[in-house]
Amino acid sequence: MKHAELIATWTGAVCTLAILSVLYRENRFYRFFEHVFIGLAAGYGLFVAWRDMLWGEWWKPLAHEGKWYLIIPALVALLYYTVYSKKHAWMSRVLIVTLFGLGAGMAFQGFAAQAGPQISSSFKPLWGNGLTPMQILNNLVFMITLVCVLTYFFFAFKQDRALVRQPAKVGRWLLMIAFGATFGSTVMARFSLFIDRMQFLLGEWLHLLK
Amino acid sequence: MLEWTIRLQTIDRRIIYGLVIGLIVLALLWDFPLPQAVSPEAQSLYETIESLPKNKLVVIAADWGAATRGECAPLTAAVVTHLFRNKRPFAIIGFAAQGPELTTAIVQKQAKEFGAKYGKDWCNWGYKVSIDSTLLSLAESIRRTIPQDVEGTKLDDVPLMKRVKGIDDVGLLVEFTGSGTLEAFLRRLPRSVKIAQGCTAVVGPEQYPYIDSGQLCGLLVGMKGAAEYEHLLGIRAQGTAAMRPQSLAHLLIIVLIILGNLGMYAAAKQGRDLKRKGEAAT
Repeated sequence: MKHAELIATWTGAVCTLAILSVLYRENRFYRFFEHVFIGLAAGYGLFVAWRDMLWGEWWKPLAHEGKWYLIIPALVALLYYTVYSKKHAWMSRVLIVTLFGLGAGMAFQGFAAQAGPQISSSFKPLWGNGLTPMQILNNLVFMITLVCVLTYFFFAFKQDRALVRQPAKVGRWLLMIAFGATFGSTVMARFSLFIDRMQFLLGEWLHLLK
Repeated sequence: MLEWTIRLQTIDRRIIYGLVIGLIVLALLWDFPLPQAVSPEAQSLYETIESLPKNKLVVIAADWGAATRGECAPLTAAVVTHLFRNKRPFAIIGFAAQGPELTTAIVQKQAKEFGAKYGKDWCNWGYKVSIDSTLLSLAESIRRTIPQDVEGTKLDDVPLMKRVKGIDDVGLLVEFTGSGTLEAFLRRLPRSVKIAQGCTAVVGPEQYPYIDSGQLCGLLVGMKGAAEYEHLLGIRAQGTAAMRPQSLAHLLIIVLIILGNLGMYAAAKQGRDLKRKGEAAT
C-alpha cells in the first residue's frame, strides 16, 4: 500500500473512532474531531464553489476574456453585506425581496409540474379494466387512506358527527402507521451509516473482511 | 421476577450499543447467505437502463455528501457498474458540494476495471449552486448552463458531449440524495427526460407517491436498494455484504422493543397491584 493511502486510511480510522466514542459518553476527543469535520466541510464547500462555479463562469470571463460587465452581479451581490449597517440596510432588503419574488414565482410555476400528476394519479379504478383482485384491494386501501386522512385535516368544522369523526379517527391511525414506517426506515438508514463505518474499520483498516 | 421484568425498561444504552456493535461485527465477519428479493422499483430502473437508446446521455445527479456516504456510495456504485457494463455514456452533476467529487472517486475506481476513459465514456459537470434555477436553465440550454466541465475543458471539446445538443438528448437522470431535492427535478425537467432516484432510507417513504404517479421510473432506497441492484447485476458488493448486519440489527431492535414493552406492562401491573393493596388496607 502506498504511503499516502496508508496515512489516509489511518486518519479515517482515527476520525471514525473519535466520532463513535460519543456512544460511550461526551468527550474532548469527539468534540475536537466534530469541529474538524465542520471546518473541513465549510472550507471544502467554499473551494468547490470557487472552482466549479465562480472561477469558470464569473472570474475567467471577467478577468481573462474582457467581459467587464460581469462585475455588476458581483457588486449587486455585495449589497447583502449592507445588512451590517443600520443606515444602508435598506439596500440589502431590495436584494432580498427581489430574490423572494423570484423564488415565489418559480415555485408557483413549478407547482403544476410537480403536483399535477400526483392529483391525477389519485383517481384509481376500483373495478373493470382487467384489474386483479390484489390491484383492486390496493386501490381500495389507497382510496380509503386518502379520504380518511383528508377528512382528518378538515379543520373548518367540528369533527363531532359520526360521519366525519370516524373517518378522521381512522385517518389519524393511518397517519400513525405511516409515521411508524418512516421511523423504521430512519432506523434502517442510521444502521446503514454505522455498518458502512464498520465495513471501513474491519475491511480497509484492519483487513479482516474478504 | 416482576422486578427483573420492570428493569427491562431501563437497560443502559451502552449495553444496547455494545450488543449492536457486537452483532454487526459478527455478521460482517461471518458470511452467511440471505435471500434477496428485488422490489419492482429497482427492477424498473434496471429495465429503463437496459432499454435506453445508445445515443442518449445519462445524467447522474450527485446530491450527497460524506454524511450520507454509507448509503449513497453503494447505490451510486451499483448504477455506475450498470452504465459502464452497458457502455452508456454519462455526465455527473451535483447540487451538494461534496457530491461530484465523491462520485468521481467511485467512477474512477470502476473506470479502471472497465477500461473506460474520461471524456469518452463519462464526464463531470461539477458542482452547481441553486438547483431550481440551474435546472430551469439546463432545460433550455445545456451549454449555456454548463459552459465547461470540471477540468475547465469547453463542453464542445469533450468527445461524449459532441452528440448531445440539448436536454432532449438526455434519456435518463438518476439522482442520488440524502435530502428532499427530487421535487426540483420533477418541476424543472421536461417529461421526455426519465427520472429515477437512489435515496437514503430516511427520505425513501416520501418518494413512493412519485412512483405511483409515474413521475419516477425507478427508486432505490438505502442500503437495501443497493443490495437489490447488485442482485440484478449479479454482483456481491458493499450493499449485499451490509444486508447481513442490517437484518440482524433489525431483529435485535424488534427483540428490544418487545422486551421494553414487557417491562412497561410489568410496571403497570405492579402499579395496579400496589393500588389494590393500598385500597384493601384502607
